[in-house]
Amino acid sequence: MPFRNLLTRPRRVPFLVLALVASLDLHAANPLKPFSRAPYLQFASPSQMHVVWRTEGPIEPMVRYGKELTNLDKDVRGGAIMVRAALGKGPSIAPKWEALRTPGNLALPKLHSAPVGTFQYEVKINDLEPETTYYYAVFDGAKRLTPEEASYRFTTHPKSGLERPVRFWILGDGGTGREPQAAVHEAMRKTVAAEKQPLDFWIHVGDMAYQTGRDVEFQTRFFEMYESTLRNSVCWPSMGNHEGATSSGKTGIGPYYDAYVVPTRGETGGVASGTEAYYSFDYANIHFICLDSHDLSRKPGDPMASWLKADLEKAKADWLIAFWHHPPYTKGSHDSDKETDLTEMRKLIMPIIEAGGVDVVLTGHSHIYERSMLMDGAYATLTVSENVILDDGDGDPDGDGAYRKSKGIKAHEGTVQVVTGNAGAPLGRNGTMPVMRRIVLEHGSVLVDVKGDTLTGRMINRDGAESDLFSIVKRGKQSLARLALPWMAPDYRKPENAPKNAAVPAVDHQAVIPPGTEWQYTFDLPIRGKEWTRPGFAADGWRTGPAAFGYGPVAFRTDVREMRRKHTVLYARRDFQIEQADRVTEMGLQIDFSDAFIAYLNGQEVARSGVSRSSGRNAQNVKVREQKGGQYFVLPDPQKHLKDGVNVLAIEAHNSSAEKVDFLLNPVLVVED
Amino acid sequence: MRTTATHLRLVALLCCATPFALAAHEGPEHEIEELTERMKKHGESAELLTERAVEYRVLGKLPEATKDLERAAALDPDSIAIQRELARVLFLGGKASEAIATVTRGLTLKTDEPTDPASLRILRAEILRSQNENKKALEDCDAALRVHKQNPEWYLLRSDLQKRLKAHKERLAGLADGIRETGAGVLEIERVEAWIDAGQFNAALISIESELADSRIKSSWLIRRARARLGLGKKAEAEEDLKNALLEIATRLNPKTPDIPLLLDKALAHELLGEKRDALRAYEEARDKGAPESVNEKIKPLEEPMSSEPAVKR
Repeated sequence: MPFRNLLTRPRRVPFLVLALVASLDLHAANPLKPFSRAPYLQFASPSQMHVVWRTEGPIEPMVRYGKELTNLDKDVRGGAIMVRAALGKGPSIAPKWEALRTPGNLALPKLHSAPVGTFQYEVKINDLEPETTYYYAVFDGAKRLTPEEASYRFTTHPKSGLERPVRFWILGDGGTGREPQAAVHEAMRKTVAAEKQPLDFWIHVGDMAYQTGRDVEFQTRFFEMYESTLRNSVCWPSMGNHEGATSSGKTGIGPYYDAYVVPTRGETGGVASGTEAYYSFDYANIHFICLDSHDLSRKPGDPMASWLKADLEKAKADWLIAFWHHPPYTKGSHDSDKETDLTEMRKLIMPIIEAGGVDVVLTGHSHIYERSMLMDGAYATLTVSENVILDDGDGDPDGDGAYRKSKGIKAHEGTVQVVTGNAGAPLGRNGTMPVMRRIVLEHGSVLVDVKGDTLTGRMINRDGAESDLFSIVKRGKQSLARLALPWMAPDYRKPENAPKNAAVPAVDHQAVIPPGTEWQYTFDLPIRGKEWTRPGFAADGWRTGPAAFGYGPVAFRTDVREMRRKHTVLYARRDFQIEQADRVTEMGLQIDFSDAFIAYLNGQEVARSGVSRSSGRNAQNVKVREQKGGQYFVLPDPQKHLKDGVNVLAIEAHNSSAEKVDFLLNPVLVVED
Repeated sequence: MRTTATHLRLVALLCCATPFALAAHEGPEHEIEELTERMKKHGESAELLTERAVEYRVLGKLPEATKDLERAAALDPDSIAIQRELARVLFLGGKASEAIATVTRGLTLKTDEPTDPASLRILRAEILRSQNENKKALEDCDAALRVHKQNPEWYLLRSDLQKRLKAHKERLAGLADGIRETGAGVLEIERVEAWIDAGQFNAALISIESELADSRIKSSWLIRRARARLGLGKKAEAEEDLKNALLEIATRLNPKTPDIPLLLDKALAHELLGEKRDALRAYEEARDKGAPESVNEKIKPLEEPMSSEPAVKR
C-alpha cells in the first residue's frame, strides 16, 4: 500500500503541511480492498506452502496456482481451506454484521480481537515439487481478486540436507508504523534487487506490532508495511514482548497466533514442538530453531528447554541457527545484566544452545545492532569477555578474516550473537557489552547468505549502506582456544540529559481533524464540569473559527488577541466522524500550543501538557512552554474512547498569564487505520 | 489452536512492558520512571500499577511488584489477570500460601474466556506441587486440561504429578492423550520415561531404539536404554550404554560453564553405574547452576554414607 507520509515536522506558524484526506470514512479509505489483509505466505516446506488472507465479510475462497504465470492449472478450494472469523458478540454489533452470525459461521474457529466481520482464509497447498517456483492467484468464486502479477509467487524449500545458496533477511522491533520501519524495508528491497538475488525467506525476531500486538496494529504496522515482501516470501516469526501483550504462548491464543501458521509437528524438520510458541524448520542444509523467550519457562527440564535439547539432539544440518526475541547479551536499549528475561536466556538457554553446536543466535528487543565475536560459555552475570571469546577478530573476510569453525556441528566451537532490534523502533544505547565486536546505533536489518561452508551476515542500514560484515567458515578441523584478554570495544557512557526520542505520527496516518478545520470556541464556560467536552453538548453562543488560534507577533487564521489581559483559557471543541472505530490502530494529537493544554476525547481526558493539576478556571501551575514547534501525543486506548459515528475532541488551551504577549493553539487529530 | 478470546487489556499489560508512547523505550528502569511520573500526574490506576509491576518483575524486584499488584487488585478487584499476576509474583517470592489464596480468589471471578480459569488452575497446581500437595495439584491439572487440550506443558505437569503419585496407568493414558492432541516430541520422551517408571521396559526399548537411530547426540537416549536394560536385568549392556553416554557427554560439556541438562545426564549415568561420589558432584554442580529444585531429591540419598561397593543399579 502506498504510504501517505503527509505530516512533516511542525514549525511555529504555519506549523503543519498536511495534505487532506478527503474522506473521514475510514472503511472507505482502506486501499487493500478486496482484502482486509492482503495475501501472504506462511509455513513452507519442500512440498507445501500456505497462503493466508483476510476479507471483510465471507467470500467463496479459492487459490489457483501453477508453474507459469499465465497457466494456473491447479487449485485448492472449498473444505480444504481453513476459515476463521470474527463475528463479535453482544448487542453492540453493527446490523450489517448481524446477518453473518449464522450457526455455520459461529462454529468457525474465531479470530482474536480482529474487527467484526473479518474472515481469514488459510490455504495449505500440498504435493508441490521442491525448489520450484509457482505463481498463484486468490479468487472469490470465479472472480479473481489478485492481479495477474509475477510478484504473487512462491518457491518451495529445497529438500533438507541439500547444499544450496540460501539468502534470508532478519529484522526485529520494527512494527511502529513509522518512517524508519519503511526505510529499513525499502533498503533491504533495494539491496536485494541490486544484487539480483531474492530472499528465500525472512525471520522476524519479534516486536512486529507495537504497542500491544492488537489485531489492528498487526494489520497496519506489519502486514501493510511489508505487504510486498510478504506476498512472495515466508516470514518465520518469534513473539516479542509487545505481541505478548495480547497473545499468550501458554495458550496459543491472540492476534500473533491468528496471524501465523508455523509447524508444530515437525512437518518441515526437527522435533515436533506441539505448540506454535516455539518450533523448528529446515531449509536446505540449515536447521532453524525458534524459541518463545517472552512468556514461557526457560528452566531446564521444563517443556521449552526440554524440547530444545531434544531438537538439537536430532539436528544433523550443516548449520544451526536459533532465534528469539530477548537477547542474552546486550547493552542497547535493554541491559542483559539487569533484566531477568534476558539473564535467564543467557544462564539457562545458552548452555543448551552451545552444547548443541548452534552457530548463530539472532535476537532483537534491544533497539540497536550489536554483533559479537566468536564466543562460548559466557553465562555469568555480569557478562565479561575474558575466557569466553574464541576469536576476537572482526569476522570480516577482508579485515581480520572470517571466524573459523570445524566442519559439521561441534559443541562449544563458538556462536556469533546478532542483536538486531533496529528495524524501526527508536534506538537506544546504555553501555558497551564486552563480547560485542560491532555496535551500531542505526536503523537497519540483517541479510544472511549461506553458501556451502560459509555464512555471511551484513547489517544493511536504512540508507542501504553496509554497516557490518562478518563471516563464519566451517572447514576442516579447527582448534580454538579461549582468550584471556580479548579485544574490547571502548566504554560507552550514556550522555547526561540525552534528548528523548520525539514521538511522531505513523507513516500511514490520515487527518480526521485536519489543519485549518473550523472549531467551536469560547473563553468563558458558563457551566462547571466537563459537560462541554462530551458529544451532544449544545455549544450555544460559542464562536466558530478555523485553527490556528492565537495572537502575538505573527498572524493567525483566528486571531484571539481579545483574550489578552482578560482570559487565560480558550475552550474549543470539534465533532468528527468515525465509521469503524475498531479499525483504528492509533489516534494522535499533533498540536502546537502556548503554553499548555488538556485534551478530551468524548469526555475523557486523553492528553495534558503544562497544566500540573485540575482544569479549566481551577487549573494550577500552568507552566510557560519553552519548547517551540508542534508536538505529537499518542492518545491512549482509542478503541476504548472512540465510537462509531460522531465523536468529539475538546481542548482547553491555557496561557500561563493573561499578560503574556502571545498565545497559540493549533491542533490536528490524526488516526492510523 | 487459536480459539477465541476476548482478553482484557490488563491481560496485555501483565505479559509485557507496554510503554505509553512508541518513543518511550529505554528499558525497564526508564519505564518505571515514566509510569511513576504518570501516576503522580494523573493518579494511580490498576493499569498503570500493573504495568509498573511487570517492569519491577523483569528487574527481579518482587516486593515492589507485589506491592503494586496488591494496589492494582484493590482498584480493580474483578480482574483475573491481576490476580494471576499477583499469585505468580507471590509464588516467585516464596509466599506459596498467599499465592494459593490469590489464585483461589481469582477463580471466583467471572470471565468469558475459558482458558482464564484453566491457566489459574495450572498455576495453582504448580504451587501445590511445590508444597508436595500432589493430589490437589492433580485435580487442578485435570480440570484445566478438560478445558484446554493444546498445551504440552500442562500434560507434562500432570505426568509429573502422576509420577509422584505412582499413578502409572493414568500417566500413560494421559500422555497418550497429549501426544494425540499436540504431537509434542517432549511428550513422546515423557512417555518413554513413564514406560520405564511403570516397568514396561520392552515398550520403552522399541521407542528408544528408534530415537537412538535418528539422533546425532545420543547420550540421553543411551541412559534411557540403560535404565530399560537394567529393568530387564541386562546389567553388562546397560553399563556399556552408560559408559558410552559419559564419553559423549565429556566431549560436549563445557568444563567451566557446563549446561544443566548435560550435568543432570552425567550425574544420572554415574548414579546408575553406582559411582555415587561422581553422581553427587554432578548433581550438586547442576543445582548450583540453577537446576530445578527436584534435583535435591536426587542429592539427599547420595549424601548418606556411601557404600564401598560400586554397582550398577536401576
